[in-house]
Amino acid sequence: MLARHSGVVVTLIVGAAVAFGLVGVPADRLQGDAQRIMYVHVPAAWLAYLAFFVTFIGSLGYMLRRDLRFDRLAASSAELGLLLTGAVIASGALWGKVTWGIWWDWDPRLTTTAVMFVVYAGYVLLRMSIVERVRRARLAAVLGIIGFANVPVVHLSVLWWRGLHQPPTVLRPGSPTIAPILLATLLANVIAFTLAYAWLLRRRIALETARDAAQTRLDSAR
Amino acid sequence: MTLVTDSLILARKDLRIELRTRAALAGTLVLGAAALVMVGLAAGPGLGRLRDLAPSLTAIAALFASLAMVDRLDAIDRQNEAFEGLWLGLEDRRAIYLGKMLALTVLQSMLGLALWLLAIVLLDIPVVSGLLWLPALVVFGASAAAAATALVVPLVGGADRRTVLLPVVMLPMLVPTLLAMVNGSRALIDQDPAGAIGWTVVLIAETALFVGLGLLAYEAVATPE
Repeated sequence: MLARHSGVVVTLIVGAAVAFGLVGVPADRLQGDAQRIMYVHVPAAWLAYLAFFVTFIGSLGYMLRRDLRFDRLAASSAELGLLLTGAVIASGALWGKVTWGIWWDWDPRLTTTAVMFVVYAGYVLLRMSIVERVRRARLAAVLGIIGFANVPVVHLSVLWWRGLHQPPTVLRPGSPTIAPILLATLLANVIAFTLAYAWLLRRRIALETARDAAQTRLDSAR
Repeated sequence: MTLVTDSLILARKDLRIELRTRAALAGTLVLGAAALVMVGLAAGPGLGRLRDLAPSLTAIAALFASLAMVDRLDAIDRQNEAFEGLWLGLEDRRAIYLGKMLALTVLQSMLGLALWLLAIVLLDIPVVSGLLWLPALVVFGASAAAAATALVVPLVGGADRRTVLLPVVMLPMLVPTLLAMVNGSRALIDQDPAGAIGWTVVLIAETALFVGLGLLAYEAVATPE
């Protein structure tokens, strides 16, 4: 029953977590309501990292085992990561307009995130452009491994270079520099977004498996 | 020693083919010059502003012209199943990667130097003693770009939308090279040779990184269907 309606359950959990972030917790003392964008922006950013890490693992797995299940995992996770990175850039631009007065700045964090977006857009485009299944998996795996090099650079960019973007507030040496209630709400949203990512990943892999099976049937019928 | 010897032979083959016709070099030089002039016109007419833009303008023009050059060299290899012949004939196939990288380094260095000469004239860059370091910066910039390009070209080789894919996959990989090239040449114009040397070291490190990556991944990427 729960498995059958898992999509509805996940949507409700995400909706509740986001709603709590938007209206349930007090606004930040300095930034006001604009800070509430953080409850979407930060989970999306963390999950984009996770999604690209899963793509990296899937790509590595494919190169080592030549098993298409790894390729499906990598491809599905990369698409979700790309979507999440798009959400990170869009929500960051909204927050930037309110807080900094500009939609975009050539800050190291913003620039490296844009580069990460283009890298994985290239990954998805590459997959779309190669018809032969095994060749597509092999070449995408190489790009999935190489492309991941940019992910730690995005995270560490705020420590390596000075820019407008604030340094890490949670994943940093020492204790988080955020009020406990805001941190709890943020973590609740991270959990909700992670559930949504896991659900979407499962669905996307199932779709890719069905597509491969259909292609195999089509090839054998010819 | 086979790897090094074969790489040098293959690089000489690529250079000989190119220097016989000079088709890629001439074509890409015109393309780079056109890019320099067009962007200069669009951003102009203030010479001070153009001088500020010169390092990034020249690097971008060189980068796009290099993409066109790589495309042309790869197309020659794909004719008459020449690539398959090389693949089957070589003991260590990574020599194809290294050979291509070396040939591209030479050609892109020639292209980069020619574009810089043009930029000095068109954008009125003051020729200061620091510019003597420019050839080193251009050569190592070309080697870093060539090491990445020689790996990416076979990656998108069999793809349908290759002309779109090549820059989309290539350019994000070249961001560090672009930054080092621009900052290095800006340091030279600002008469800061120490800064330029620092950026040249970054370019050497990038070359080493890309060559290592290329040697590891080339066989997986370039295996013919």
